[in-house]
Amino acid sequence: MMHIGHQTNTLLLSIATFVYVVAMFFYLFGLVFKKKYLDIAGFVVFVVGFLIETAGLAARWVESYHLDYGHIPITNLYESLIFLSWTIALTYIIVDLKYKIRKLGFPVSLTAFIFMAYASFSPDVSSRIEPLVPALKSNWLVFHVITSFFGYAFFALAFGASVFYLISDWYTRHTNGKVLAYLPSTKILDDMSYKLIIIGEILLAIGIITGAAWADYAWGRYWSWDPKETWSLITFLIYVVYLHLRYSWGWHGRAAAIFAIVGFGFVLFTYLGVNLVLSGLHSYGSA
Amino acid sequence: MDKIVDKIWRFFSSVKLAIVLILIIIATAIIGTVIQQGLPDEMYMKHYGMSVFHVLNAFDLFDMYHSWWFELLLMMFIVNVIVCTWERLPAIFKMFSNPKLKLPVEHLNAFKEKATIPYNGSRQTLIKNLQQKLKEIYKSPIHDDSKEGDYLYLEKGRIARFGPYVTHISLIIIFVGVLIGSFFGFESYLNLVPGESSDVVRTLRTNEKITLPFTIKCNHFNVEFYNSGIPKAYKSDLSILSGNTLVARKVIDVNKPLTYKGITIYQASYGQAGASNFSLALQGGDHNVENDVSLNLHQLYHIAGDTSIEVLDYAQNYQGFGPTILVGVYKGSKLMNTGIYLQKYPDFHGAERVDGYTIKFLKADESFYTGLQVAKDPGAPYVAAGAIVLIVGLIMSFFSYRRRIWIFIPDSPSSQSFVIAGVADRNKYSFEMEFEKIVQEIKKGVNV
Ligand code: HEM
Repeated sequence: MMHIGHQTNTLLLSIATFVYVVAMFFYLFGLVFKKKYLDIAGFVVFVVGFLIETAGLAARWVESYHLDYGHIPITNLYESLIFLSWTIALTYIIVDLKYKIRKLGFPVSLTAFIFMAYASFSPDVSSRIEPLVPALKSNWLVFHVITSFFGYAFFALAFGASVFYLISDWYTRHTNGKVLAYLPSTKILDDMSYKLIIIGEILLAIGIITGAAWADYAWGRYWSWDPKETWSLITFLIYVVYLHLRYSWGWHGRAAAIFAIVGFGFVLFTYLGVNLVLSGLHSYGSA
Repeated sequence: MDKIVDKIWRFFSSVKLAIVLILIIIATAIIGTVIQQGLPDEMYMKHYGMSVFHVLNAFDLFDMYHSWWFELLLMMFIVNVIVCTWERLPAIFKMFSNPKLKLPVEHLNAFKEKATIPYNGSRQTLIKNLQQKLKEIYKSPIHDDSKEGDYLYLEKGRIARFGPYVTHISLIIIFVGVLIGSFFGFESYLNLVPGESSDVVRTLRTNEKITLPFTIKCNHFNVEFYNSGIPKAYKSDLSILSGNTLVARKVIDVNKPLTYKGITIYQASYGQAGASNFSLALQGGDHNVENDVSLNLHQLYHIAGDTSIEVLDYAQNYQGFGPTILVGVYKGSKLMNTGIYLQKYPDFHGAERVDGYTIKFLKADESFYTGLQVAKDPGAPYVAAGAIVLIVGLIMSFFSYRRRIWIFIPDSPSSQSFVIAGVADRNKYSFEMEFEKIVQEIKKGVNV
């Protein structure tokens, strides 16, 4: 039997969790004291945390080969929580390098930390590397998980941008038009949130399609309305509504931001809720 | 009559309807994820009680994704997409072949992005300069004139206007594929013990018999386990027979099905079937010989004197220790003792002897049946094609956006300024920046 915590991968991942907290505090102080160098420090620390997390995931992948299971570490709850925080971190770093919106680092590092901590400390989540049952051995599945998770990550960032939008907008309205100097303008936040949702929607669509392809190869049916599938379709449709409201009705600004925030609730439910909440209601089915 | 058709048409051409329908589909689809679908009625009765059961059942909520009302919603949705697309597509083509090169000045002035730029010199030089400059920094403009003045027209990202239509048409393609599948396809299962063959399968949801145009024979079935007891791989060696002739043979694996005559056979599951056969090694006795013996479950084996043994039970993976048998020891017909023997740890029980014999459990020949899923879906290629078109449409819609810029240079001796105005279909903010840059560049370039 293996000993949890004695492996390189879980050790590296625990360190990364800690580094994300440090980054989060830098960002937080950056917001409070409005000093640019704190934001930059936060970003640097965050990137370091991301690199350690990457190393941890890579180590886990290698270790799975030593155990003769040999699979990419995205297949159980522990790995998926870690992988989700990794995709969010990577997406944020890319977006930040393009838009220089350091401030988003606070909610992002908080989110990355929450997912990692939940993975590491929840008694319900085992960090053991487990072998794959035959149905999971499929390249389609790998594509499916990667595209879906990056989709989730873009929706998560859109959520962050929308929350900032509301804060900034609220401040402006309650101070007779003064602008919150340390947040990007509402215009930029609105535009950014929209663009992030677009990319998230394309990735989610690819995720749903590759998932269907996988099911077709494994069972000969590409769609069976199981709760996870259904919820991912629901999430896709929610953002279809968002896009049409925006395009055909010109929804933007506050309404669009609130929609994006609610939409992210659907993303979270698709990712975690289906497994945690619905399985409870379903448990009688297996009795 | 025409009026009614007209009304229905208008009803279905509205984007508002699309949004309402999508929201209703979302709301109802959620119900089906909260109430588990497709269980036997008795389970629902037990869980909900009779009266609630009858209400839910009346609305088909136990199989709601196949209920008439849910299918009606999906139908309405697809009609909505078709009508919407049909109605707007001609305008899009027209826009393509015949862009609006000239807009009245009042229109231009109504745009949010606009500027009035003064210039010196003649109109002709200005136009030439602008054409040169715009070609450098943006795009070659189209020149047109009218009696009020000269127009320059610039357009980018036209293809993005086609994107939504490609996306909507993909939905129709997918829908056609789904329809073809539901009319001409089937989903069924077949369980076979190695050596067995059959040409009759049963459908998944309704359990009806279907006779295949060929016979499936299972030659071998093999399942491997990880040390922890989780299945690692399971494979069936299948022959396809037409009458008595072999027409195809393949070892299928999970995710690696076999297709013959448009019917695909998937390795879906497996299960334990019938009694198993066990190999044991008995060592000891008077001459310390080693005997390999083969026993079926519950078969009594006589060792010496009035002592015999029997394999009472078998577990694939007993408490994580792997394959394990429970052996009973008899004196005469009386069960004296039982012991556990592990295949992977032969010495675990080494100390205990039965009448001077040590027993080693060598292996179990488990007999499994293979669980095959047999499906035919002639619509699947259409669904796949539609899915690819969907992604292409989304990328077309979003990786670019259409923006148009008009420059109007009035033909009047008094005016020495021209108007530039533009509009974008989407990404208003990005366009604002782009527009500003163009105006700056023009101001620099024109007034040297
Ligand atoms: C799952 C279903 C649907 C998807 C994935 C979808 C996708 C899209 C996309 C990506 C756009 C472009 C939006 C933008 O540029 O921001 C769009 C626009 C549009 N959609 Fe849909 N749509 C769906 C259903 C419908 C339905 C049912 C209707 C019928 C009323 C509809 C009507 C429109 C219209 C009128 C536009 C504007 C098109 C234009 O540029 O002229 N959509 N849709």
